This record gives sequence, C-alpha cells and structure tokens, in this order.
Amino acid sequence: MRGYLLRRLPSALLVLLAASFLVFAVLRLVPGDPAAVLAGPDASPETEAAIRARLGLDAPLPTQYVRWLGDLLTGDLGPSYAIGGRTADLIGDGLGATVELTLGALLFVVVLGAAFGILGATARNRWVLGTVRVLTTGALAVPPFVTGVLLVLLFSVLLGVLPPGGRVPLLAAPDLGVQYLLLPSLCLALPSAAVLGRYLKDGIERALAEDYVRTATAAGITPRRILRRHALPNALPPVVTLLGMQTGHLLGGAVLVEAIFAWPGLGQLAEQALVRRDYPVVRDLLLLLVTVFVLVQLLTDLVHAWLDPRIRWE
Amino acid sequence: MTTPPLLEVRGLDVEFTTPDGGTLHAVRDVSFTLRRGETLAVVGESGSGKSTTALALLRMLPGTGRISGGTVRLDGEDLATAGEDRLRAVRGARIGMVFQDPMTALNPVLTVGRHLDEVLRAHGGTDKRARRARAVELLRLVGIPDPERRLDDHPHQFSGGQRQRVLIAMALAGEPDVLLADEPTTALDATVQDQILTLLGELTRTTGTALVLITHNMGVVARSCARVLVLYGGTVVEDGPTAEVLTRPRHPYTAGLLAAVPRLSAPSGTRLTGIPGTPPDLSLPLTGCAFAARCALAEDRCHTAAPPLADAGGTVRAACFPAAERAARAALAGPDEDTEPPAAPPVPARIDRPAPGRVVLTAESLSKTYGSRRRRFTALDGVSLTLAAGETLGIVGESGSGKSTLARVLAHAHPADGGRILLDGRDVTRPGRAELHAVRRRVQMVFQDPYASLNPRMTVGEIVAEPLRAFAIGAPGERADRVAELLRLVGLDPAAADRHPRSFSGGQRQRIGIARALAPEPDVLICDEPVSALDVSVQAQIVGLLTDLQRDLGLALVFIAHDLAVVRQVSHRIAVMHDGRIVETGGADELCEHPRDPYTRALLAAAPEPVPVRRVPEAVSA
Repeated sequence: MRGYLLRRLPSALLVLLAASFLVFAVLRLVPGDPAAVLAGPDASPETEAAIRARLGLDAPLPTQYVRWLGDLLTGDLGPSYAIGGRTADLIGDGLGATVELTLGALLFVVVLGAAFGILGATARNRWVLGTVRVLTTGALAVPPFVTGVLLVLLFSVLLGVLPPGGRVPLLAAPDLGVQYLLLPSLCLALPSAAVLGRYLKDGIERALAEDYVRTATAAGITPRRILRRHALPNALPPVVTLLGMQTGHLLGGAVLVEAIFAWPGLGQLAEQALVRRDYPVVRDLLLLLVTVFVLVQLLTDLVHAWLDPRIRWE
Repeated sequence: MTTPPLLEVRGLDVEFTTPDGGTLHAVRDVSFTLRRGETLAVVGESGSGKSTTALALLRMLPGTGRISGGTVRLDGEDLATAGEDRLRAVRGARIGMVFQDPMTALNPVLTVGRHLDEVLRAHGGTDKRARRARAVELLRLVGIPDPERRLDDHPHQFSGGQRQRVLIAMALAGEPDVLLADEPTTALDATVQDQILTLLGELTRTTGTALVLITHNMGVVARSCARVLVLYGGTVVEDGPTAEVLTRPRHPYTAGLLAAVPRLSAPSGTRLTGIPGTPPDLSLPLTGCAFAARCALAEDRCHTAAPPLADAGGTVRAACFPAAERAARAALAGPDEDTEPPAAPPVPARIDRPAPGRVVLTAESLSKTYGSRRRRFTALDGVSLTLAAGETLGIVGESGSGKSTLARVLAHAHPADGGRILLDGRDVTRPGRAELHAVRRRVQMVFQDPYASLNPRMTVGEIVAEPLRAFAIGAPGERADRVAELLRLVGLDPAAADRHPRSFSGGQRQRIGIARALAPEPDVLICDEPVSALDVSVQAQIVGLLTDLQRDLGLALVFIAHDLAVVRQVSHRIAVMHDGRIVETGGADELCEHPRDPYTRALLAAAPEPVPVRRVPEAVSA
C-alpha cells in the first residue's frame, strides 16, 4: 500500500506543477491588466506604472511565476488587489466555511446515495422501488437553485424549524451550526447523491449476478451478509471513483448554493474576486481548487487500491 | 436391508418463463435416488437439464426458474417446499456445491481465508481462531501447499486448478453429506482435471460424502462415478451402473453419445460419428420420447407416448420402448441369452482425403512476448512449422502454452517479435499495407466461441458478406448469390442469410463462422479451438464439415485444440506446445502411440477415456 502511494505521488505533484503554470499563464494572457483595473479608468499612465511596480507586475513573467511559487511554499500570498486584506486570510476564512459545507454535503451524498443504491438494488416491494426511483430522478433533474428555494420554503417558511440562510461556525457552536448547515448541504448534495445511488444500484445488481454470489448462496450464507461482505466490496470501487469526481462538482456547486443560502464561503469570495478582477485571489483560488481535486483523486485511488487487491499488484 | 436413500428426487419438473411469455420445460419428470457415500454422474449435453437439476436441488434456480412439480427429499425432508431458513441450513451444511468456472466463482476482493471463514461462520463456527485453524486444515485437505500463508492471498494469486481446490474446500467446509459438482473440471486443462478428479475421488472415499458429478464428458464419468444418470431434453433416458451403461448402453441416445466421443485410440483419418439433428425445443410440449426425432430406432409410439424409465436388463433402467422390450425378451429367454447388442453404434468410418501437396505456409523460429518491462511473458519461443496444401496440422497444448498466440501471429492478427513467416515461399513476416491485405485474404481464421465471434446486430448474410466487401470481391449485386453458395457449402439453408445469429444453435453458428472464413477463398484456414465450445454430438458434424471442405477445396488447416483425441483424428501431423515452444512434432498416429517428449506423455496419460475402446478397422494409410 505504501509502495502504491509512493508510485502515485510523483505524478500527483507533477499535475500540481503543471496546473500552477496553466493557472498563471491563463490569467496573465487573458486581456485585462490588473494594474489598469486597480488604478481605475481615469488614472494616469504614471499611476498605473507605480501600481504595477508596487505589485511586482513589471518584472518579467518567468520571474513573477517563480516568485509566486516561492510565495506559495511560504504560505504568504501577498495582499489582495481589490477586496482588501491579505489573500491568504481571505481564502482561509472562506475555506473553513466551504469545507464545512462540502463535508456536510459529502455526508448527505454518502448516506442518501447508499440508501438509494442499496434499496434500489435489493428491495422487493414495488412501492419502495417506485419511491426510490422518483426520488433519485427528482434529485437529479431539479437544479439546486430550485431545490434550495423549495427547501427554504418548506423548512424555514412553512415549518419554521431551520434558518433560511447564514452560517454559524460548526466548531464554535455545534448545535446551532448544524441547524444552519443542514439545508445548504442537503441542497448541494442531492444531485450527486442521486448519481451515486444510480451507480451503486447498478454495481450491486451486477455483483449480485456474479458467480461468486452463487457460490456464497450455495454455501448457505445469508442474503444480508452476501450483500454486505460479497457484493458491496465489489460494487464500491467504481462508486468511490465517482465520489471523487463528485467532490469536484460539490466544490463547483458550492458557488451557487452559497449564494442561495448566504453562506460566506469560497464561492462567495470567488464571485467577488471575479467581479472586481482581484487577480491574485482568483489565481490562488483556482490553484486551491486544483489542489483539492488532485488530493481527492489521490485519495480515491488509494481507497480503490485498498478495496480491490488486484490493483495493488499491477 | 436397504437403508433409506439420502436424497430422493421424484418427478422433478422445472420451468422457466421466456421473455415472450412462453414456458420452457427445462427439466421434466426427473427421478433418481442417492445413497450415502455413492458417486453418481449426471451426464448430458447442453440443454439436457443437468445443471438446472442440480440448482433445483438447492432451490437456487436463476431468473424465472421455478420447481413446478415433484419432490426433493433429503433424509425425508422435502426441499422443494422448504422455507428459506431451512434451505440455508441445508446449503453448504448438508449439500455442498462446486461450480464450473473457478475463475469467476471466487470473489476477487476477498482473501481465500475470508471465503472459508464466511462458510464456517455461516454454519456455526463462532470462535474466530478455531475457524482459521479449520480453514488451514481444509486447504491442506484439498492439497494447497503452505496453507497458513496462502490463507491471506487473494484468488488472483492462485492458478485455475488451485482455485477449484479452494472451491472444493469451501463446499466441504460444512461437512456436507452430498457434494454437488457441476462441471468442476470443464474449465481446466487435462492434467489439472486429472488432479481434481483424483482429489474428489479421495475426498469422497475418506469422508464418506456422496458425490453428484455433473458433466458432459464421458471420460470423466468413466473415471469418477459408480453410477450414471443420462439426461436428454430435460428427461432421464438411462440410469445404471457406469460400467454397464458405458459398455452396453441401452438407450439409443446414450449409444449415440458414446459413439460421438472421440477416442484417443482411434487413428488419424477416422471420421467422428455425430448424432444427426438437433436437440428438442424445450419450449414445446413434449409428447413421446424426447429423442424420437433423432433416433434411428424410433417407432410410431415413440412419437406419441413418453416411455417410462423401465428395467432394461441387469440393473440398468432406460426410458425406451424398444430397449424395454429387448430386456423383456432377454428375461424370458434366460439370463445367458441377454447378448443381443442393443442399439449398436455405427462402426467408425474413415475419411477419404488426398495426400498433402506443396508447402504453403512456413514459420521459422517465431517469437512473441507480451507485457511491460516489469513483467514479461514469453508466449512464443522459437516456433517453427510447415503446412502443406490439403494438410491438417494439429496443435495441442494446455492453456498458456501459446497455441492461440501462434494462431494470431500466423493469421497476422498480431505481429511476431522475431522469426519469419513464409507464404508460398515469400517472406510475409512484416508485410506492407497492400501486402497485408493480400495475406489476410489467403489466411483466414475460425474462432472458438461461436456465440461471441458473430456480431449479434448483423444478419448472417451481412456477416458472411463482410469479407467479400472488405476484399472487394465480386460486384455488390452478385454477393448475395455468393453468400447463398457459401451457406450451402457449410450445410446451412441459404434462407438463413436474413436471420440474426441469435436464432441459431452453437453448431450452426460455427458453420456461419466457417462460411465467413471461406468467403475470400483462402488457402489456409486457422481454426482456434473450433469445436471446444460445442457438444460432442455436434462436434462431429463440424469436424466432418472441416475435413470435407479440406478435401473439396484443398485447404491447408491448422487445427488448434486441447483435446488430443479430436486432434489425432483430424490431423495428418501434430505439434505439441508447452510454454511457448513446440516440444514434439510428428505424424498424428506416431506421436500418439510412441510419444517421445515427457510432456506429450503426460498429456496422453491425463486424457480420460470412456470405456470401452472400440477398435477401428485397420486403416489403409498412405
């Protein structure tokens, strides 16, 4: 297992380096000079040049790139241009909120996905099967901004049991934090949970049709145990891969859901930074997103290898 | 003084619902008994209902399958009506089951130890350490070396034969009274099959477990079981002691089946005997004897009334009117008069075939390796051979010996890494684009699996015409005529051209595959296990077709198979492959009678032969 990790690590690092280069290159090549935006439309060329020099934007591009990599390693990302404050602090504040939201959503994805998948594959009752099918189709078909509004309408307006928006940090006040977290994370999770459920259902059905399940049945092992110990471990690897990819979707979807529920996370920050052309914030956010993606993929591969012994021997 | 039977099956009927709402009668009125410690073979061809019967005993019928009649009594308890909890207590604990394909029957993500642990746990093993000790003991019992260490290995780290041993260990874990083995050696090489059958024999002897061995292989029956039950079209046609049934079959089907089995002792050039016709359509109601339509001895009543399983002389029972009457006559005449040969199989005929002509294909020290830098696998290692027009070169070897790779390299499906291939003396090892096209036209392949090698979405006509299109042979308008001609050549109705492969049986599909291979008028036909997926009664038809085509068209055949007996009969010469090399090559008869290489001897020794050996009239060989 450790050998597998060591084999996979260099390629992950390489992807990160390539991503950093791409992020840097793309943002510098698109039209729109950050210094000009910062200086405003009426500023003189001298003012612009002064700003450019202050921000180090007058240095040759390779130098800027290397300087940025150095900043990344030290963790000091410099000041934001437009929003104010230091980039690292802005991202740090938003990151906590978004991680909280994403993890909450992931929990919903796993629990609901598992329920959809296992019930869909093993239930015999027509009504249960029909309900599962309607729920998964609905969760997949209705976009988050509609489910978000519906959830708020139901739980906040009609029932009045959950707050319609805002955030209380979970670690600061767990009981209150959960109340604020429930609706946005559920809203964010629903489409992914439906996709995961579909995959899991197919995977379990496929595994249950395999010869080794027949072997286990002939050996007198109970259906429940066959599902848990024989079919699920075989159905999981592709689902884990999917979950890894869905985590990326969750991060992307967070931008929208954060807006609906006034959740002060990276999505809100990204929106602000884009609108106000805060170049370093956008750049570092992008790289952060890529890093999370790469880490999740690495984790996915490790879990995959742990689940399926054949991969370790490739 | 007879003890009550351990397992008593009475009038078992099994039905499936077909997708179009019809009913398929897979098993009809099957009855048999099994006593403690007995070994019973259930033999039959595909569709005979043998596997369905086995699954029905454990109530594990797949899909829409259901027991629609009869009883399955285990020590008096009827399993056909028992509840799921009772069945689970029987499965694995009273009746253990071993399945055909050891490659898929084990869960790839669980260790072998976990497999055994699961079974032991299901049957009351509560102490984890005791279960592990028992698992080690079981692995040792089935002959897995170093069991303590192997317990933590996964199935992919075991060979096919070892996996089958593990499955046998699982089936024995609950110390069952009955071991049901469904084609346990069909997916294995002959030498491994030999080991597994020996193991099963030893285990049943030492543990007193009764064995029900389901197989299509008469040699396996002869080797392993005291009693045999012959199934045809879902019905029992014959039931008796193996030695009796195999030496003096009472039912014409049993006789035909035995005659169809290729004998290793039959010399090269012997025509295989098949059974004409096709097995019955199980979706139709059965009136009369299931075999009547294919039976040479059938009388009018055989078509209208189902013959009961009745005494047919000795301790054998057969479901056949003529056989029962013969037995009755013999009984009247006294015990010594029972010498009338019942339903004698036809005497094997010789193939008339011309002597091989000039050499068309030569291979010189071909080599081929697969894999990455870290793991290299040498599939071919200095293989040389020649093949003449009108000649059949048999290539025999076990899985992994490189015989399929050789077929692909010869057919230019894969390039060789080294060595030369000459076609009519011209070097075609690394042909250019145009030349490759020309070479492919002259060297065609027939594949093993007639189900997988035909595109299910194309009609038979499109399949056979495809090479014509690919090689731009004939005008598009004329191709339909050529397809009809090809279909007639392989013994199919030209009307088949409009239908899809799914409406044909395995043997007919193989004929379609052969018609496709013949379409571009090749000189060399490379047949990679062309009959190993077919039933013996059909195998003879396909082998006969290939040899007839060879005689008429002067084809050079490469006939690749693992069954030495078939290879000997169809081949002029045989090459034996082992680990990517040809270890021995020679005239077919010479090689089988006087093998020189130890590996050839091992292969010959491992091939199970059904008794008795019928001598073929002395061949007038060239």
